[in-house]
Amino acid sequence: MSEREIDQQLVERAQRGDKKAFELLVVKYQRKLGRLLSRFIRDAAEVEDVAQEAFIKAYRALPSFRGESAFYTWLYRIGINTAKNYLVAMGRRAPTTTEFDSEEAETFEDADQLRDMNTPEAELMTKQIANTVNETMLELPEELRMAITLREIEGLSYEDIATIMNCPIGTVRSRIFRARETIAERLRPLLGTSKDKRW
Amino acid sequence: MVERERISALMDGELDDAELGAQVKRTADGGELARCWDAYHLIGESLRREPGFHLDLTAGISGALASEPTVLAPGRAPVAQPTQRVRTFALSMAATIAGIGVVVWMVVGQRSDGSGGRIDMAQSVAMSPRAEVATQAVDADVNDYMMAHQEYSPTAAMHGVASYVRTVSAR
Repeated sequence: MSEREIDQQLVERAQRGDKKAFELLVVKYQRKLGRLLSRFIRDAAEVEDVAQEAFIKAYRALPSFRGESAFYTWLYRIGINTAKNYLVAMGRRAPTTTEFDSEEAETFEDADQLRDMNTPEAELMTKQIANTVNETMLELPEELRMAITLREIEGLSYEDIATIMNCPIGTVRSRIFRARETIAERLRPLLGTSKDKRW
Repeated sequence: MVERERISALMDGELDDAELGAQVKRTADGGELARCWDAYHLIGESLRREPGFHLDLTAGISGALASEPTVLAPGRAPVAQPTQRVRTFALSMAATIAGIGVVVWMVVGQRSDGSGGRIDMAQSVAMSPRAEVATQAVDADVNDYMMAHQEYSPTAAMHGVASYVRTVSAR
């Protein structure tokens, strides 16, 4: 199942009145939307406000979402329009249409600007998370590392991974889960969850 | 399968439809499962080397959504499957061909008996209804007579304006 189909499952549940399904989409895309908005709005608190407003607008507009585009593409447009309206209302220069509509904006990778925006504490935490994930990946057994890499980086389905790794789908599911759990366990101190608290 | 393993499958779109609804609800209800969902996505972003960005809207959005009316979008009309479309097309083609076959058979059958194929123009003309222009020479005297005696006419048994119809039309 593609990323788009996974989102569509949650969107359809939200469209049938399941607010919890929409909350899962918020958790999934909040950082990505935040990164996008930070390109146009410098202040972190303002980014948070605009991102929240964009998600609420998206929720209200859910009945009009027909799935012709991916959920994030649709959310992206709502986010851009919300940011534009916000900047105009604040009497600031809104980015030009070219800046807004640029394909590059959707896959924004300008880490330098994000570094400027993040507080030193947030920046340190980001680095620590990246280091922890990378170190734990190197320590994982080969079959777990391969399974999670094929899933998260290559975007393959469990069925495809099972074919490549020559094992049952259930084994793939278990390996990916164990890899995630091992990394999450190592991230727990960084993410502020106490030792006695399970994920 | 443990609860967190189901979340892992859920985020990969590999959970059965039967389990999906209940798992979404349990996961989004907050607490450890919601943190697990967030952490697994964070790990994925980190592995894909997406730039880190600290933002947590969950509490704010959850509160805001609570005060929002529940959206209920109309269900999408089911899209006809390719096999259904092919079957419909085949049936309509078969019906068309059968219809044409019946017409051809009737025409050929009529011609083969030697009588029906010839078009008899004279007969055709004779059978056609002749449009006769009714030249009604209205005799004013007759009309006056009819009006004077209309109450004795059988139409007088009709109530209302029916008995005057002839009168009006005559005038």
